[in-house]
Amino acid sequence: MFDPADNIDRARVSSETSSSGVPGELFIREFTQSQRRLYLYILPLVGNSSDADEILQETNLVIWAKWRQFELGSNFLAWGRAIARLEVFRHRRNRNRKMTLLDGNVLEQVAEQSELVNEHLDVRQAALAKCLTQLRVKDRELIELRYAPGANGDKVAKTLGRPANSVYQSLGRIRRVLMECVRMQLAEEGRLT
Amino acid sequence: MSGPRDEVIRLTNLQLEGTLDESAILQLNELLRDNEEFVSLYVELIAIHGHLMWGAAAPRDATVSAPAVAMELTVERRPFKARSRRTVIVAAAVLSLVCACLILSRDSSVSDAVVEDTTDVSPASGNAARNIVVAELRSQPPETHPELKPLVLDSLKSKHRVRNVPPDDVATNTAVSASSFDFSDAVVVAEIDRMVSDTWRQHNLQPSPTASDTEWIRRACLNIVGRIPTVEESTTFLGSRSPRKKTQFIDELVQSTERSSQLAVIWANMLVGRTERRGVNRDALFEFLFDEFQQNAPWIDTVGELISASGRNDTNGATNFLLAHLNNEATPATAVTARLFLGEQLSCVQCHDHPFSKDSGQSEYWALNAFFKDTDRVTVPVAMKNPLVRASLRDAAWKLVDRRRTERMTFFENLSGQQNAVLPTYDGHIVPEDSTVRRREELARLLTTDSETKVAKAMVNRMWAHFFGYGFTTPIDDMGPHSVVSHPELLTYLTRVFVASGYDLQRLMKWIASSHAWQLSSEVYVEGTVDRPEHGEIPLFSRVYVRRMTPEQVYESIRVAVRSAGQRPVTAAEVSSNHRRQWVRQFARSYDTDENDEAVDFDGTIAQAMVMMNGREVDDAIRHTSRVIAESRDSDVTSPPKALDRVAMAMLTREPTVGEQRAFRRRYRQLTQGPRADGAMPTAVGDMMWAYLNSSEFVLVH
Repeated sequence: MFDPADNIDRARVSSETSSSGVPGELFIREFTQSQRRLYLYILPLVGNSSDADEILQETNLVIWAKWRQFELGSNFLAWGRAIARLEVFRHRRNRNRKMTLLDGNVLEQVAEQSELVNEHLDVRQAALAKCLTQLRVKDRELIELRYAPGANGDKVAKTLGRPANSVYQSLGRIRRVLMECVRMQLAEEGRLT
Repeated sequence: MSGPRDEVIRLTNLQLEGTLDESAILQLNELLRDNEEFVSLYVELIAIHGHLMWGAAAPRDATVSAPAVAMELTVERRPFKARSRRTVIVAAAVLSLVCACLILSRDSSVSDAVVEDTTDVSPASGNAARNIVVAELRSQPPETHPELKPLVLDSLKSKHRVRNVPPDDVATNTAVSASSFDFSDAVVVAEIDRMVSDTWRQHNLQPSPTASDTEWIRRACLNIVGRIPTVEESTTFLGSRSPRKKTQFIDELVQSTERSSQLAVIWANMLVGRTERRGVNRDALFEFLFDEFQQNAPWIDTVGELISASGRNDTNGATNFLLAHLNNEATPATAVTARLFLGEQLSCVQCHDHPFSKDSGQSEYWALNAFFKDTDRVTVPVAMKNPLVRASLRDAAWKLVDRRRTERMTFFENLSGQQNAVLPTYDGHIVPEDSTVRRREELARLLTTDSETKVAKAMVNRMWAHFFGYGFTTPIDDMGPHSVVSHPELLTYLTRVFVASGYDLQRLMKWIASSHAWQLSSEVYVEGTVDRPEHGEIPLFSRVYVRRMTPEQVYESIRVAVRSAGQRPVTAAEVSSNHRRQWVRQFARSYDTDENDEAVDFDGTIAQAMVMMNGREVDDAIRHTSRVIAESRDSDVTSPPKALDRVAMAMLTREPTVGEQRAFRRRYRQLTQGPRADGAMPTAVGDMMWAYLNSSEFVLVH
């Protein structure tokens, strides 16, 4: 049921794009603008960035292969998410011997929730930017280190000369603070459904 | 805050750092299944990570779109043969560009390289083309960039507020030690030993002999990590022949997260008390302290943060200290700051000059109080998840803020009814009336330049007392000029090296724990010894004084004893901290005094024994453990004498005495002749565990 081939039938088929050999400017704009959102949609489904990156790339390839089926003016993101979702399932099937993070039922619930969150991404991003400025200096510095290009918890621990465990704990605490802060901001603005 | 909610957050965070094991994955799935609230917690927490991974500050999507469009135009000019190939190429080109823009370091010629690679791809081998492209792209996501930005690191280092932090071991660097004064660990420990033994000689005192390894390891664990050792720790340590095994063990303990956690518990108790207080978020304060201790942050920085913190009490845990003490014109804040951080009891001089000490007067007290004049607290309206449910005050967040008062002077009345006025003053520095500095920040700064380094001195005294049971002054937080100091030279020396080390708490703990005096037994071996601080005499540290465990130490020790006897892993402290707090609160009562005092009814005997007897968790845990021991396949454990050995080691870190062996044998025999003979072993083991746990030996720190 989750074969990516199904997607061809499910996707909207456009009548006018076949005249041109490459996707138009609007499509490319939609595509580039969807990247962050799609990544953020996929991430909770797999739980780690390297898998999410990989699935995003696979998703992109499918999007480009099927660009004709996209009807300009319809919801590109919803279309992209549907493809991404199928790619997540394909990815799981391909590595069925290795343990996946979420089991089937839970994955469905998470996907549903991730879609909801995905709809308010801009507001969330703005809230997060604000919350970041409210962190203690030390905490913000740790976050900057951790999320610098190429960094990870272990490297940060090594750089700071702290045990990895304690760096993880601090990062976990700060992420939690940020999450609660974003929640608070959205609630204050009345954006949380 | 609910347990499972915390657990969802903890597990999700572990997953984000890639450290979630299989059983934890199952646990996470269990928690998320059919629980909408937890699923959204999980998703939102990961969303934070995702936003940050992608770069939270700049909306990168927008910057990407413009060059991508330009790229599209150049792509169009290329002659293509097959449609399927074309899509792959376009995808590759645009994707490379997206990545290129994201990383801002990628040459645009990449797209050509990809085009070369895929020219011969036919529709049938689409997968191969995909793999090539993916492989090319996979090497580029932001995560795989080679190194951390050195710039960021430098900026981080430069923000450390303590200057002249020396290298870890100066002794290894002869060039440095020749020019500056040497305070390598070995030198400091030798100095401590010299000064302590000098006083023994002066008092013609025979110190107690060295403690046995079993006495020592139990004491080391209790002092540094706040619990007794596990059976495994004890057997490894006792079996080791290494001459450096004590040093190694201390090193491990001092760097462990358990040590940070025990220090955070101790300081949270001192800073805001054990009883619940409105507007105080103990969890957030604990987390702040834990982080500070775990990072081994310079103590002067931690003190500075506590004094100058502002903002919400849930997002900035450090605010909770002052939030707890701002009542009554911040007089508790003044008294507690002086007592905990400066080692001075000022609450009496609030109303009158000190009867014995001319230096600490009423005006000094109010001059310290004046630093908190602008400090205020406000409630933060709780974000309504459900507008129909009114949030209770307990859930409300509080905010610590500074509001500049128009009146800059602080007024007080002396005993003869005269009105006096002072400005904030510390160590001779007066904050002028028209100054616009935040007064609390100024206090934090003045503490770092204090000519008497009182913060360091108070901490050295407190830490010494933590290890020995008595400090250099009695009480430890009354170090004013009137107080008698048992070892003035040693106190001054340790204060000096502690400051020189950059207020390094790990090293301070290591120095004290490595000193010769701390290796001594707690027992008094010599008749008529003069070293009796419990009789009000000056402590001479010719032995380590016996103390009762704190309620937290008892709790953690019971847990460790029961679990390690049953060969079960000692679970992480965070799981049980909530339960421990409830357990401990049974003993604590708070008073509404000027210092927001509280009393802890914990005598280590009757009250405690009652609670332990009624503790169902303890009962269940013991029943489980005794069954595990009795039914173990390991014959080393199941024979009655071996089982007793294990229980004694787990509970009291020693072998059972002859009397205990006899009692155990008698009980076992009695049970085998009774009606439930097959359950004799677990019952006898369980009984022995109860007896050990409720012995006075268990609740004492030797």
